Parts: sequence; structure tokens; C-alpha cells
Amino acid sequence: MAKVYTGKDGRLLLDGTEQIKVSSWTLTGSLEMLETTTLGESQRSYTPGVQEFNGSASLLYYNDGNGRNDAATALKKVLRVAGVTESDTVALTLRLVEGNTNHDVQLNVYITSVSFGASVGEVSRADISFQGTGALTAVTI
Amino acid sequence: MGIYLGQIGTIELTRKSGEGVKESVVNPSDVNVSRDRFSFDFEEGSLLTGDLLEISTTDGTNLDFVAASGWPDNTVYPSGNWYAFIDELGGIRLYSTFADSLEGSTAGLVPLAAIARDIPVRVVVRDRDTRILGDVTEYELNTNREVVDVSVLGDEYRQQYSSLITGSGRLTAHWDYVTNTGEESVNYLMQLVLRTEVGSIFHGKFYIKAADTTAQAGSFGATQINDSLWWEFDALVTNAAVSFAPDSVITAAIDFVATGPIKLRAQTQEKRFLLQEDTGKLELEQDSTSYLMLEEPE
Repeated sequence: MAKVYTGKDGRLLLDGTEQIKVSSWTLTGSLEMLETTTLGESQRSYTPGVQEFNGSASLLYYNDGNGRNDAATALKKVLRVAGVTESDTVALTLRLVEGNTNHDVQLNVYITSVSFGASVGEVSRADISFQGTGALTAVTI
Repeated sequence: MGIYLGQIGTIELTRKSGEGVKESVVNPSDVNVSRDRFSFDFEEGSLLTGDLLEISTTDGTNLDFVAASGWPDNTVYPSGNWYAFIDELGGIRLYSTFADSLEGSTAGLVPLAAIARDIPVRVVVRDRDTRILGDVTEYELNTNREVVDVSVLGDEYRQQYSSLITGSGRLTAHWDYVTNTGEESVNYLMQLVLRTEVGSIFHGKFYIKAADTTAQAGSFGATQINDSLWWEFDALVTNAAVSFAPDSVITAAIDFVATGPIKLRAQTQEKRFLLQEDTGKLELEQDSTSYLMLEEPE
């Protein structure tokens, strides 16, 4: 059955918890190519190098009825008194839902930058950027 | 239901200054005692004939260039209120009443006195008197509430969150430049848009139904005659246009935007006034047609 995916189908999970009030996410994957062209060759040749994954997401700065604020939780990954250590990775799942089927990309990331603020006439949002570390842990897209 | 025509609407306007005050210095040579005329450095068009000026010294000294006989109790103070007549050279004459200030003649002219020192002054256009805007042929007012899209991933329907309220509108009037005691002319709004230093703000009451008006048809009770409903807000003049055609009356179209809160108010109960012991009404200062009212009817 034909299916077009939209923001309606998107989800974002941090450490297995679906985040509330996510307005967007993006993921960029890249592969570094190493050139292996040698003297006497007429065409350039390459071999795969290392992969890199990074992206960004935007969450409304929003308290639900129980005082849960996922944007604040994400912000605290960077906005904190204590320094960030190697153990401060989060398991990130970027998901597109199709009925009972989830199309996921899972990876461990560091939250590398956050920004949020208040503007007249606008809803306060937390914009976060993340940097993947290591290989993807699952891909079911 | 009653059927109402636009003739029951009207516009009341109060002069005021919005963005700030004008500070300057009155030098001894700025005061012409023989003509009771003075001046100080201000941008042309900043002050308009008929403006009620609050003039204060900024160093706490008295306003010595206004003669003692120009004060209500013949005593000179550091601050006072007068209506201004601005002549074509930027000279200022002070008057005790709005009507006298429009003429710019010697009637009601506040006498000045020579000074021997520089007097630093602060000038503010006060907002005290309300007048009908004359010759208005039509007006429209739009109020708009902005919404912010707070839809998130997973939503099937857009969600909106209410944000800021804005208002804007346009009025059209037959052009006239003579301001009468009870009415402002649209020429004042055309001057206002060009005023730089103290802004182009005015306080407006845009009546949907003025008092002493009735419905054209349909149900209408006798007790509704004195009812009045109006929008009330501060507005900035953003555009003034005048159209000329050989076969048409000269009209001026004024565009404005609201700044600050916009209130839709209603007066549906009989007005009550605070009375003196002899049952006479208490007149408001310098306006014998207005009286001190009580806030809440019995």
C-alpha cells in the first residue's frame, strides 16, 4: 500500500522514552571517502573511510500536567554545572511510524549544542544538535 | 434584533505624546516679552497648535519666563500646563484655553516675563481633553489575534496557541483644517503622521453606537437610547493620504495601528455626576461642558 510519510508519523525517543512535543528532527549520515588513485590510472578511485552521523531536533519547551519537560531534560545534557563525561551519551531513536510498524534509526549520541529562548509572539523552543558516536545500533527503515 | 446604520458611530480623539518628551533650553533671547512669544529648539511639527503642553524645568527652578499673572494663583511654579499656538516661525504662545490657542490672538494670551538665565525645560503633550473628530465619513477597525503553530510530530490536526492581539484600521473624512472647540479636524491627524520627536500617537474612542442614537429598524427599547459602545485604544498614525478630484470633495484617508491594549467597552447605564450642595455639577478644569462623573451608578 502506498504510503507518504509526514511529520505526523515522526517520533523521537531518548533512552527509549518517547519525547513529548517534538516539532522536528533531522539526521545526516555521511561517509568519508579515501582516494586510492595511483599513478598511471585514468580514473579516480576511492575506498570507504569512516562514517559519521549527526543531526538536530526541535522540542517545544513544554510542561505536561505531571511536570514533565522533555526539552528541559535535553537542555540539561549541556546546560549543567558538572562537566560532560564519556558516560553522558544517550540512546537516540529516530522513528517513522506506519501502523504497528516502526521504521527506526538508533544510535548513541552526545548532545553537542542546545539553544532556547523567548521571543515575542513565538513559542519557546529548545533546539538541540547531536553528534553520533560509534556505529548505528539498529536500522529498520 | 435591531438594525443599525453607520450614522450612529463617531470617533473621539485625545491628543497625547507617546514616545517621549522634548527637552531643551529656553535662552533669554528666546523670550519676546513685547509679543508674549517664546521658543526653544524643537523639530518643526513636533508641537502643534492646540496641544496642551506640560512645561517643566529640569533643574527644579521656577518657570520664570511665564509671568506671575499667567498662573492661576499668580505664583510662579517649576511646572505648568498651557495650550500652545505655534506660529509659522516656530514661535510659541501660551493660552489658558484650547479655543483661545486656536486663534493665536491676544485674547487669553498668557503673558511672559524677561529672564536673565538659561532655563532647561521638558515639554510633554498632555492627554486631558477629548474631542470629536469632525467630518468623518467612514471608518473601519480590524482586530486580529495572532496564533502560533504548536503542532508536533504525531499530530493529525494542527494545534494553535493564542498569541498577541493587534489592531489596525482606516478612517476617511472630509478635509478641513479649522479645529473648533468641540471638534478636531482631520488635518490634525495629517500633521500627526509627520511629527517626529514626540511620536504620532493619539488616544481614540471609536464608537459603534454613540449615546442618544437609535436603531434604524427592528426592536429597540427606550432605555437603549443612552447606551454607547466603543473601542478604546492608543493608536499610531501610519499613513495619511489626501485625494483631489475636480468633481469631488477633498477627502483625507488616515491609516493607523493600535498600540497597547484594545478594549471594547460599553456604557449601558445612566450617567451619574458628583454634585455640589446646590445640586450643580462640578465642571472639569477649562472645559465647562464636561463634568465630574461618578464611576458606578446606583
